[in-house]
Amino acid sequence: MSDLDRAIELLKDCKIVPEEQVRDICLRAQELLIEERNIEVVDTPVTICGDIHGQFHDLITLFEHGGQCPDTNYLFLGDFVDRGFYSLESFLLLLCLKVRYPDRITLIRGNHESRQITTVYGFYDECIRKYGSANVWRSCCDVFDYLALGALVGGSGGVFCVHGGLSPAVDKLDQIRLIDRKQEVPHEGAMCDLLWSDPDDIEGWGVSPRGAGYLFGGDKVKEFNHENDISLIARAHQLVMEGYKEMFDGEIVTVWSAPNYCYRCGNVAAILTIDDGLGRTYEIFEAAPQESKGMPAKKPAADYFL
Amino acid sequence: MSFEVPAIPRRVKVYELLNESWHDRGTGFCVGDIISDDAYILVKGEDDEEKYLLETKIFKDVQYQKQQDTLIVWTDPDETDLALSFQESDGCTAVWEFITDVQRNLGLDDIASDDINDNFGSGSIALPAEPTLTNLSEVEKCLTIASHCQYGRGPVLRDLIEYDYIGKLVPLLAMAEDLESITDLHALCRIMKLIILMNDNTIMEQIVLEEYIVGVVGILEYDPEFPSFKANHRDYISDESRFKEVVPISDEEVRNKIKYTFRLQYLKDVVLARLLDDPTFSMLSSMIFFHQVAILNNLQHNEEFINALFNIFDDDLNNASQISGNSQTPVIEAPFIHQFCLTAKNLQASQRASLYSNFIKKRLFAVIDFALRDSSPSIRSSGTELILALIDHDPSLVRNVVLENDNQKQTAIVDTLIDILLSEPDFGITSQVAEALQILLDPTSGQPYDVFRKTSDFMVRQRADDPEIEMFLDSFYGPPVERLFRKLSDLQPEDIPTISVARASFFSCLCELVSAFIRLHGYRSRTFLIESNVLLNIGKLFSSSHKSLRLVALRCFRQCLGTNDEFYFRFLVKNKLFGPVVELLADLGDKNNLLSSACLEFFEFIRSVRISSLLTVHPSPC
Repeated sequence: MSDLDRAIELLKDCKIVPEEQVRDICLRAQELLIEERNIEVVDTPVTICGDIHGQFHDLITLFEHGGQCPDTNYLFLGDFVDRGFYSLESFLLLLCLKVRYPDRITLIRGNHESRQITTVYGFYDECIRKYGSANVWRSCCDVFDYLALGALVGGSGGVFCVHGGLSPAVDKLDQIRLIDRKQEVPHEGAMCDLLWSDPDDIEGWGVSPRGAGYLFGGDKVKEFNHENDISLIARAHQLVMEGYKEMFDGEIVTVWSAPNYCYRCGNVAAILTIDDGLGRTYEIFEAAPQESKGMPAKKPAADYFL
Repeated sequence: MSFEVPAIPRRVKVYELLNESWHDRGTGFCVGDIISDDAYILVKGEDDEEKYLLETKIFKDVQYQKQQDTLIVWTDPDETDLALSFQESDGCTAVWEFITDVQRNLGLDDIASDDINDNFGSGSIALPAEPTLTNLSEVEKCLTIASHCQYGRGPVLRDLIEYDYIGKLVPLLAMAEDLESITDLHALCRIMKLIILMNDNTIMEQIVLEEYIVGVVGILEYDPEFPSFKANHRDYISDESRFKEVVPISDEEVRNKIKYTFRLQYLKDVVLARLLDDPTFSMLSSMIFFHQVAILNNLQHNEEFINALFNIFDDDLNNASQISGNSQTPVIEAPFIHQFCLTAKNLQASQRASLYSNFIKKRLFAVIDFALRDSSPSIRSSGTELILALIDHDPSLVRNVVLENDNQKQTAIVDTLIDILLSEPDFGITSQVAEALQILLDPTSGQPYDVFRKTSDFMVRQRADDPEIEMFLDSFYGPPVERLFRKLSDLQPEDIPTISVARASFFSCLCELVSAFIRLHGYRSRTFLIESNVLLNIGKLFSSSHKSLRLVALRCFRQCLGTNDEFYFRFLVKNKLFGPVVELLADLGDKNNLLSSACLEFFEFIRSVRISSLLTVHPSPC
């Protein structure tokens, strides 16, 4: 069994891997990710998953419902970390799978894959708690900078996948090719919008209440899909109680894969499978009972002075 | 309306909240009814069949709650708090379904919340003054109702404090454990959770008291939601050895506050992590915060304490110099000061400033310098985090210290940082040090409340007049910068193929600093980078097999374009440094990946901002 397979086994048990190995995995992932396009091309059939947010046991449930990797081809739409108690294990498991089966799993960047956001919403603190230093967090953040910004599933007439949504700076998919993506998510511009925007029942563009990205209306979705010859935009980024929600005559869908979000929202989760004929199949799943059983929730500080 | 109306009379007690306590209206039989398209709950008296104990319409926007299988609680629109306590759970369920059906029919989906707990049978609702193992279900029921209704919380909280409930519940744990009564233990745990979620400061302060805390976390070990799992909070919390005192803290109050803070932290992060709602979470966080402020303020103004703390270091420094070659930073003090300063990051800016400057007076930098040169990676890491905390707090503070040091010809912190960057094997520490250097040398990072950091060139120019940063940069752009980038300026083409993965990380780190300095330091960095061959040699990195290294090299050149500085343009053209970029793109061929996107962005930038001197140099295809 290789080191990598051993790491995958460890992580599937929700155990952490040694710091040096994390660094090694991250470097290998970077080598792979640097070869990916800003909008990575993904073949059908593929199962598209939305936000995970460190809900490790729910991620395991997701694989039970969707099939194990590499048997099933996966595309994750970002927001692997923050909020849940197991951001580290969740992200590292996905990353190990990526390194092990590069052609069977695609990871794209969410707005939480950023230094600034993770210091506020939990991933940073979790790394400090679990390793006693910020080194692992740094290595993971370095990987974040390499993640693709989106994916195109099924070629022409296919599905454009992105974490947030559209940008007024991007009319054509080709324009995204001109972004040098290896950087912290900026506060404005195309790269920021792709990761932050939300669809809304408005005309044209609107100011986003999130303070980053835009709101975009059904007209913009239709223009974009027509211009780029795609039939659907699949995105995540917003909690949907029913797990998924189609809007604007089914031209955009929000997929949410963190059931009982933050361990209290009471929502179900969904994954979306796109088959070779571009047909859509949604699968709904509920929170794993284990997600609440793996106590204690966080590791306490070992020693203290203050 | 088509749904089942509960026509069978069910025996029930009716309670009403009067003057902050639950008043028994009497016992009777409950049915549902539809009268001219309105739905009602009716309770006829047990003794007097003609008299209605309760006659209430079911409203769409009233929140009804079902608790513990036999209770339904709500507040009528006339603000009367009412409760129905059923004798049998069947009856409760029937009436409950009626209410939810009606509400759904009124166009409201499931606003009523269904809280299913274990069945405890009906009972009275006033909080018993003496909780015992026999009346736990009563206590629980009372707390459940109180926590769900608008007016119930206040009086119950008052009773909890007045009766010293925590103090009375704690002994019950030992009794229930002796009896091995898991039902009682679960009930105690549910009660304790309800009390905690009342979200009251005073109660929380009671909980963390020495005499109660072990009992409280003991009770919380028996969580009925995880019947197969028992935590061991008591062992953890009563282990005094976790509390380390570097210098004995004589003030009893401060010592206690430190322990309370630890307990609150443990409750928040471990015991209650899954239970906490947002208000209780923020109450705990703010309690912890205020304790920390009090502790830090007390200790930092305790002259005796601080002197004793730093004296240990002086002793150690002396010892270390005697036993040369064996410099070990004391394992305890450095982490302590580290934690002290990191905790201080949460303080308000002015308090933090006074704390840091107080510590600096006590030779904090000597401590850091010492930690940075320690043989243990974790101490070195503490040292870098400390310096980063200080630099983050106020770079100009640190710069001033460096300048003073320069005048006194002492070891400057910049030199130490450069030493580490060049020799540190631990990548985490290296990247932290690189970050520290970058902020320290960022002229826009001067202001304490720095909203403009990393903004426009305008800011750079504005701050460039600042004499302090000018002096600082002057001293940096001498021997230090040459030492920092020596590996780049001495780079030979034959070195490139042998660059290891670790070495590639190191060069990437240097290139990122080069990019930052091009952006931040105007003519200073330009002169140095051109004259020292650094920029020229970065061109060689394009032939490295490490893609990440090619990428950072490209980004250095891209940064040159961003300066809009003709000197750079001429230098790049004269030295044929666009060559490597074009070759890189050609090498990539049809590939579409991160590198090719970065190349395209490079040329797109030249095109879009119309850098005319670059667009006209090559009239013929090359």
